[in-house]
Amino acid sequence: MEQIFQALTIVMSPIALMFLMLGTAFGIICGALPGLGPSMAVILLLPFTYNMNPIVGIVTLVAVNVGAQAGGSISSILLRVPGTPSAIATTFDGYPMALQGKAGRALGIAITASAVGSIVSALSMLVAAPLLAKLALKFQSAEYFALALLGLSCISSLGSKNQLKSLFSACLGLLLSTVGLDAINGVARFTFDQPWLFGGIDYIPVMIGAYALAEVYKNISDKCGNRLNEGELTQYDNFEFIKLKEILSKWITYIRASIIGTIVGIIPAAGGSIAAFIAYSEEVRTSKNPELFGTGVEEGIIAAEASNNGAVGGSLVPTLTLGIPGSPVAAIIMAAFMLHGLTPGPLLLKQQPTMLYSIFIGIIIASLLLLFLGKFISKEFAKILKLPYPFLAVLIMVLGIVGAYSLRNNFTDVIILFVFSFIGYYFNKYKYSTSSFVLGLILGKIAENSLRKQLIVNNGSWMGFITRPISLVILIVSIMAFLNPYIKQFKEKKKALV
Amino acid sequence: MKKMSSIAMIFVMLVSLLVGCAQEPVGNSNQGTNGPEKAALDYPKRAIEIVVPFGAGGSADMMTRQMAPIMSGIVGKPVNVINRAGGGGVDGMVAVAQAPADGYTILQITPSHAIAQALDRPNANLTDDFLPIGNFQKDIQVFGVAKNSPFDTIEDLIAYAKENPGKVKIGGTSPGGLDDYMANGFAEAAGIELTYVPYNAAAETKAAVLGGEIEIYQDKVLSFLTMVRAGDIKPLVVLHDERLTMIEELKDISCTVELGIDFTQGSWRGFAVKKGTPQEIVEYLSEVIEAVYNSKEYQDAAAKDMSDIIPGYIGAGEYGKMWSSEIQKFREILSGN
Amino acid sequence: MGAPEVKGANHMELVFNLIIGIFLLVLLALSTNFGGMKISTDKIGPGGFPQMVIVISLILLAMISYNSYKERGKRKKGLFDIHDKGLKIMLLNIGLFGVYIFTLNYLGFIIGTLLFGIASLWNMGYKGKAKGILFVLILTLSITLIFGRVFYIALPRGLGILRELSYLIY
Repeated sequence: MEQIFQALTIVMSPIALMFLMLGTAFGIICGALPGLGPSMAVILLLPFTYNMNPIVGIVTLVAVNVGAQAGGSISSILLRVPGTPSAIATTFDGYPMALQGKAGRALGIAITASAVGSIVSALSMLVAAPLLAKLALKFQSAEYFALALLGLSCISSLGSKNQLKSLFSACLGLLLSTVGLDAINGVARFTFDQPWLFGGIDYIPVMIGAYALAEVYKNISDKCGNRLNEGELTQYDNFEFIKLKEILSKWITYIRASIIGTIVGIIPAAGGSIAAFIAYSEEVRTSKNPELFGTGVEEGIIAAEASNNGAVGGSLVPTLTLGIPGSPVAAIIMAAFMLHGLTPGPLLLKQQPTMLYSIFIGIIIASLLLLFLGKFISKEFAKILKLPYPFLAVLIMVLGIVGAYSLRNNFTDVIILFVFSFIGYYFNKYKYSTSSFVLGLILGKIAENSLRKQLIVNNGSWMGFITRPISLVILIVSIMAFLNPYIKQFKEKKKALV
Repeated sequence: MKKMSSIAMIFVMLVSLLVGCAQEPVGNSNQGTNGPEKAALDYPKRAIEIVVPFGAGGSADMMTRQMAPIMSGIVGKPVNVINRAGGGGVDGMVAVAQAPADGYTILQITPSHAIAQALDRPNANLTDDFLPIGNFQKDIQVFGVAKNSPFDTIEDLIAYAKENPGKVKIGGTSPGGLDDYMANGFAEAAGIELTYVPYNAAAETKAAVLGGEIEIYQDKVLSFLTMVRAGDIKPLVVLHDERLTMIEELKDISCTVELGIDFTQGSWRGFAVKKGTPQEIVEYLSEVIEAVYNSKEYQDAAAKDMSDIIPGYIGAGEYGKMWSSEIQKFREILSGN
Repeated sequence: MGAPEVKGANHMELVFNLIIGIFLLVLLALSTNFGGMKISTDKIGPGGFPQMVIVISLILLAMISYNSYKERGKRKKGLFDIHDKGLKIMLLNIGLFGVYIFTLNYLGFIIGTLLFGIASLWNMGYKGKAKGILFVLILTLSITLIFGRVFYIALPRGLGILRELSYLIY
């Protein structure tokens, strides 16, 4: 109790609050700008924390991460350009909502869900950190493979328009993920002796090209030819605060997504983007109207955003309790601990119990700040929607290039962006699924590598997937999720016959 | 028009706000106080870029970001750190090789670059395309096992591995990388067979050891220590020619050479410039790097995060020789299988 | 919108499918040559996963092609309707975008973006000249300054004198 009080006095001091606010705002802006993820945001602020009180410094960095994960939704919703990798799933329903003139409400939902996700994960961190850390270690190759399948299982719901084409798109994505040096024995695969393919194809430029640029091409062709005006973002509502009553009426969605986010965040190999996919597919699986997802369903945004922010608190759990960072950002935060001469792990929690409470309070304050800063910042960003379309088109194309380039300061990514803008255009035109394709690309590596690794560590036996209880449960759930739409179709046909 | 101007206002405000925030205090212009003599050299005239060929947040990146402000204070111009990841360090290397040889673009290097050359990866030619300016940090590799493991000493482990060839699994990051080399080199020298399982990141390897998926955990001293202090890992052997007596937790742990296993290896992190850079600039930069290393600010910071456990500085001449010998070693072990 | 029925539209998709199919077969052939297994318990090996995915893809592709063959002629509009004005603008704009990307490393980000922005706005038929130029100018400068000075992301600088000049800005 005394420690909570101590933590409160540190975090609530005016200076600390100011840093928290600046950190959260900086995070939101970095998240909203494509190509600058949470890692970049945290590392840029790191030098400023050298001379701070260690607790204030760490809490500020955590606030930056909270802000960046939430900020990613802004460009996902407004421009269909995911601001951060973990905001991909937000585009599925966020952008369609914006097309319907409900961008302000979509932003409100995204920011609220982010705040709820962070708070839930902070609470679970405080209450059950050591327990959760043990859980994290239960996740090994077999479980990673099962998780990847669970994430992939939402392709069958994403492709309600054309199942075959959705599956085919996912397969192409999986195939694309194998390009580059094999992660197990290092041979070059499908590289055609091109050195720039050795590192594989990064999904961010693929995604910006196939989502955002392909959409721009289509809009140019539709709008500049003075044809249909469908989907024009001329109407725009104001940023909407989500009322507590509304949150409570959808509490299951919020809590489920936050918990999925927290658990996936704890696992070192999986992060916010995988958390968002899994939460999204779970939401689809349990929904009464799965076929509506992808057309602007609010639950879709909530699931994606609550889970990727849930991963923030989750990723800190193994960092603090075991000294194993749960995500790349957590690794940087761990480095910040070291720079302050602190070693994360059980000893730290014993010697500096104030730290855990301070981080907890810090996340809560950052989440509350998120609501207000999010309103202000996303309002400014939303103004670009009032631009005439040619301006918006140029803006998205230039931002696309900058986003792809700044990811690794590598020009190759810009070429990849350009190539995949055509593939995205072709996919849209012939009703293939870009989302399934990107999902395959992202989850392909983790699925293949964990499958092979499990066989290696289990001396070539396949039984590990079944004998490990967590793996078995997740496998069954993912098969159910995968078959769910088919079973529904089958039942409806039967009904129709009767 | 009103719309336009308000949007323009927002952009201008945003830019000025952000640019304003970014004006971090660059050194305190203590130019010349502890830096090398700057004879009649007209360098640097503008900001220097250090290209870190890996993602943000790795140990190479953290080191560079730590030393850059100190270096900036010495040369009197900003020193910017740029991450150019991709191709296991090769993409960044190529980018520096394509920039002009004027000393304004410095490459941060690690054993990954020597390995890329040893494996004859295209475009990776450290010794022919670059000149050394100095090494900055050195690391030593330590092997260990989870605390509930049946093995208590390295002798136990070797005896078990001799009876069960290939049964003992060792983790690491990336196939054909430094970790792979160290696992293979150690196994070869000890006369045993280990199965090397590559993971994507060090964090995954740690989780795999603690979760019981693999037996041996290998890491750099610094990261290794965090795990030992957390009580999760038992250290078994240090890949070095003497015991690390300066570290409380490792002072009783045997080193490879005393066990008769003739294999030592660690990581190193230093800097290089493109070949063709004027000689006086190369010399000036190596002096600057040495001055940064010896500066009180750096020594204090290094003492705090313990990156100075092993003195890391190596001057340019010796560093160049080290490149060749490392590449030779990597070639022998890695191309052998 | 009474777009004329184009009979060839579905044939076009079939042709695309055929090309994709052949490409997949080439990849399948390549994947059999990925080099030996290093780890004896790695049963799947580097080639196994891609091979499995390719085989599934080929089956799906065959099913898709069969379906679209069955439904041929039902589609209203093809991928390319050359007489469409919007499509022409789009293709020209993609062309401009391509030129922009491939000259970016020579011209540098600032000049490249200015030229592309103005050309693209003009191509899309935007009327207000002054406003257009002002917008492109603000866009270029703000992106260059935000990314270059705040985030230390060195956008392409261009060659020769352009490279030197860019150092004055970021």
